Amino acid sequence: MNAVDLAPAQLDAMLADTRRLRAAFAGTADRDWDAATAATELAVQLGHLAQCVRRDDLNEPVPVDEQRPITDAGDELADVVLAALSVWTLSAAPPRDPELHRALRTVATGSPPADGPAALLRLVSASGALAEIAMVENGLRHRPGGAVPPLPDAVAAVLATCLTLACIRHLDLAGEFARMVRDADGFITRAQPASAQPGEFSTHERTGSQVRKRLGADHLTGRDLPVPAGSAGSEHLLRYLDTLRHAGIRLPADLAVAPGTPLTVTYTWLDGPTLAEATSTAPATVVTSVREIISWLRTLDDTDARIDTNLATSASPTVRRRSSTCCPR
Amino acid sequence: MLPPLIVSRRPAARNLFEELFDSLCFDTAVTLDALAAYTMTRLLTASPAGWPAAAALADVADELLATPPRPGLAASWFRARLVLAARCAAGQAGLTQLRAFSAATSVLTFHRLDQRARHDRAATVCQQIHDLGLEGA
Repeated sequence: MNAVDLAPAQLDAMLADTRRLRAAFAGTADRDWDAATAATELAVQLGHLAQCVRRDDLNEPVPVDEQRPITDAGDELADVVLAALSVWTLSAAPPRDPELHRALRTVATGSPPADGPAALLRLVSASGALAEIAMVENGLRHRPGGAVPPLPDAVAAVLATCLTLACIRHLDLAGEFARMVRDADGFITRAQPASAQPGEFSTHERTGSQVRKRLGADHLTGRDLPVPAGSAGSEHLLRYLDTLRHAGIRLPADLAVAPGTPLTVTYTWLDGPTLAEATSTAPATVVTSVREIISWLRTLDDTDARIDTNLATSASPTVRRRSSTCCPR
Repeated sequence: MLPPLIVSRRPAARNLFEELFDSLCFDTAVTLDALAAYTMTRLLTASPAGWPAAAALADVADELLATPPRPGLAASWFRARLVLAARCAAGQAGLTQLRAFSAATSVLTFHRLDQRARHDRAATVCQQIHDLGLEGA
């Protein structure tokens, strides 16, 4: 596979996955990423890839951390692609994907590199140029003299070199990328288990499609809001739910309050993207949802009830997987 | 649906973080500013397709910003976030500035700071709000 062998549909799929993963990973870091952060990640992943090339192609003794083995060149190459595409998707200037398609069609690949290490050197070179552009764009570096390649060309150069390296190693880059995406989705799920999501006020268990949520667990922020609310008992919770229904908020049809303490509710899991994910995949739907949530908030203003606005998205057209969070971060 | 956020059972804030967080949960005006700002920021920073969607929320932002700014840490933080997000959606501010201010006013990051650092952060953000004219008056 070479540059022209990467079909437009494959690139579009990679870009869509990149945007989705960036949104999903946003919850695992303290700060939002920008293009310069992605360029730093590109350096990290290049380092991982270099470990594989040194070990496999140069027979250098590279220690392997059994807790975090970095031995799969295909996976590391896919990570490099993800980082490069993240620079593109996070660029300060809103990137226009057709320009990247155009750049990838016309990128000059030069003579084929002799071997894996030579291809890696070209990749380092191309990645350095991309990182420089990202830093300049984000005001972290002066704009150098001489010719600076446009961002689409710089990203395309990295992608083309990744494709060349994949060809040398007999790897299917698009396939490796898809495998990496599946692994990343698994990591995100593990990193944010349902009972430990940011802003969680409670613990919940999920068995199949059934969710059982208990109030009273430590909130991530240490805030003890559930305690005074929980001491009100199930009757107070039922009144609270009635208030929400009267405000027009759609609650899960089978939502039930279990008797006894701690306060517990059960309902059927609603699958779908989180609000953060939907901003990438369904922005128009997010607009509709937020308008509806705002109307709910205004209706509730004269009542004793308030809603967690992230939680509210589960009842709006933008369905989220999480079943309870705090207010927006 | 948990947690039940019940206004009459709102606990007293014991520190600067709880002042911020509780206001975010219970004060509708603050919640509205925060929700609109968060959504617009996410749309602006997620993908190019989000830009028109963020611009489509301009009327919501305008309506919220037409109400006078309120006193208090949370009110000023989230009003400022909304002002900056609206400017960015209108092409009058950059994404780098938007991301930086979102990071500076991150509630989770604020929680991780000790009390002294929180006061320092609050003062820094207050100065940024003044310097950037984000009071929303």
